[in-house]
Amino acid sequence: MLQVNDLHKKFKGTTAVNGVNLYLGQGESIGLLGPNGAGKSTTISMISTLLTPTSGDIRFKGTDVFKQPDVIRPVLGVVPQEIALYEELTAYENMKFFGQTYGLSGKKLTIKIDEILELVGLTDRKKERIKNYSGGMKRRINMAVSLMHEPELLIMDEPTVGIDPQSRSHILEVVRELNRRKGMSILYTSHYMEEVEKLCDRVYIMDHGQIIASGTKEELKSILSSEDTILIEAHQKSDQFIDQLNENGRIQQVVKVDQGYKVIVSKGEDLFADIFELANVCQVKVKGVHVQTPTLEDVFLHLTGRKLRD
Amino acid sequence: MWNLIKKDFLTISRDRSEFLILLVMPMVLITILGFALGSIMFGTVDMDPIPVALIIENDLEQDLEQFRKDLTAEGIPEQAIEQMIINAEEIDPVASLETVLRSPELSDMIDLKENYDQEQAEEALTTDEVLAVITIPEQFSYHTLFAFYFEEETEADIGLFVQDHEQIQATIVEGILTSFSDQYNLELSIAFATEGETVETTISEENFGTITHFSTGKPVSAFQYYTIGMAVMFALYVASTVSSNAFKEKKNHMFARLMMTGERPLNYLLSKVISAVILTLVQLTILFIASTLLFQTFTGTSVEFWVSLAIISFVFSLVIGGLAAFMTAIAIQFNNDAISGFFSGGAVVIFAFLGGSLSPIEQFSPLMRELGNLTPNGAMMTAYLQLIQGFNINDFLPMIYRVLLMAVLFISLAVAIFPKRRLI
Repeated sequence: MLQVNDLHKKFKGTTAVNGVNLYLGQGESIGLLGPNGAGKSTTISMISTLLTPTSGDIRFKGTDVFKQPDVIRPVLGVVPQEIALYEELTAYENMKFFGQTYGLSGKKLTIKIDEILELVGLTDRKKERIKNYSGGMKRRINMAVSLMHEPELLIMDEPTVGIDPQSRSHILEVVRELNRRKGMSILYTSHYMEEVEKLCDRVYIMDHGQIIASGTKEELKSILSSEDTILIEAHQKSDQFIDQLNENGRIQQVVKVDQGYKVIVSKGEDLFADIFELANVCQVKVKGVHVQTPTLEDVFLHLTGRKLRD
Repeated sequence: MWNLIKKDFLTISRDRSEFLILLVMPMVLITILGFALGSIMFGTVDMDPIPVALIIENDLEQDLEQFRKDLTAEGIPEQAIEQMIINAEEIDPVASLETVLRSPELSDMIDLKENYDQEQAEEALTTDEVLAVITIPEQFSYHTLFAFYFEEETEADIGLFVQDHEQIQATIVEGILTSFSDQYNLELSIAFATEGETVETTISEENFGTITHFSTGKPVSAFQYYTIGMAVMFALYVASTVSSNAFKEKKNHMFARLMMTGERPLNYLLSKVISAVILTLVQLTILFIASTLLFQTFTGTSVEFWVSLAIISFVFSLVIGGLAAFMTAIAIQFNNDAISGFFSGGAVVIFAFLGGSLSPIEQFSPLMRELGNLTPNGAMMTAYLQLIQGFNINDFLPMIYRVLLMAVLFISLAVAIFPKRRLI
């Protein structure tokens, strides 16, 4: 359905996207994972035909979308990372306005608005102005507007950034329903691993404008089949402790996480004694040490040496 | 397209700060300035007598002699010729004009100076020694009499030189001459008719000579002046409001979202022109009606007046639409809204000053008035004021054409600048 071939984009000497290749099949759901500045939004802007690439091409059902943007635009829904809504208008007015620009009118438009408001759970609040909405409600309407014309392909650019758990869960449910029940193809970008793990069939990991790994979740996690991830739970964060861990030749990577530290080591390495000794030297009080099943976050850490949200 | 315009109208009208700037502020200023300067009626302000040079190159005796020869050549009996010459002496237009200019009624208004020849008078005009020069050319009496008696097109023209036609003093002198012309023609026609002469006369300026098309302007009240002044000034803010809103649409990604729906970039730009035109028309209508209801600004005016007012307002709203499109194109092409900020933060005040919104600019100098008329608001303010003073629409057509040209120019530039391919 969608093919991106060797896509490049340069801005005044900076390469934002550097040779990206990806494909998305009919009814499939893929995730584009990467930290801020990885080039995800630029890639999406090019797929949406809003930005022309420096080189490479994007084909939708075999047609070059830059030569014929009208092939993709009518069937494409994009949920931007920003709240692209008119704050002075009500939710209903925003949906009506964008619905009309998609060519809907009359009863068909009214029915569609009601249906989507129901889907995102905001029927009762439809007459309130967007500026009075909570962040989560704005995100839901931001998505609702993109669904007005029943797109075949839905691109969602970090749709859950900075919202309450209830709205987040609602959005994820809606996306899952659109994909599984209505067969909508979805390209989902996020730096929340758990969302991508939950929603997507395949994942592309992007960093510094390049796809550094891709495959199903299982395929990606198998990258870490020869390694273990150890979580060291600790109250204090000590740079000295990190330095000491890094100096240990058996530890491949160390990173600070909310609960303490995460280290990646070769599978089967027994490091518990070393960890406690170094913690003692650095006066770090260790609450616990756990060996974890690898997550996509760990894959990203392994591939880039950084956390996704660094 | 209509939904784009409706959206602009709703978003702007619901924004309290925009509502304050576009409607409340001008109304407050009209009220303050109108009451503060209410005692001053523009056009009847106390002023010093206007220094006017009168140059008479005409020689009545020679003209009568020439006239006598023409009558004799026509075969008119000697006795009738004598009577006609006596009548001609009595109705001499030059003497009549001198009488009018020296009348006690005009002595407060006109300071007549007669010691100049043409060259000296023109020199005095450039140095502000006199503000107008009236020249009665050679054979003026002869041509006038000939035109009346023989019903022929006249060659008699009174010369009037002024520093600036839009200066209030110039308007007064021109008005006096026009009134004299009308009155003289009328009296002469009646005089001939009552004496049973067979000569038919028509009451028109042509019989007397083409002086000027100016008529005496009606006075403009402070409320009228500042209603127009504030309306044209604050209408300029519509342009920056629309362009600033367009930039906000781009910055907050609504523009990109719109483009993805398949909306054409030039359609979007056109919607900005129409939105600005409608907003300006609504703003002007509300201000004019509110001012009339509150301060009787345009009470008692004719339907023709309101139609002309609507025409000027429509043309003005077109140029505001053009300006809005021009600034929108720049803001979106260069991804920077500095143009709207510069316009609303500084340019509007400069335009308003030059255009005469803050005070009558011609009081400073004729050059300032000329500069003011090069701004869209200044040109339209001149048209509005001339309309209030009772001028005919043909008198301010040049200003209307000028502003229409500006509108076309701004829209053409906007179309050239606006991005048609790169959309974010």
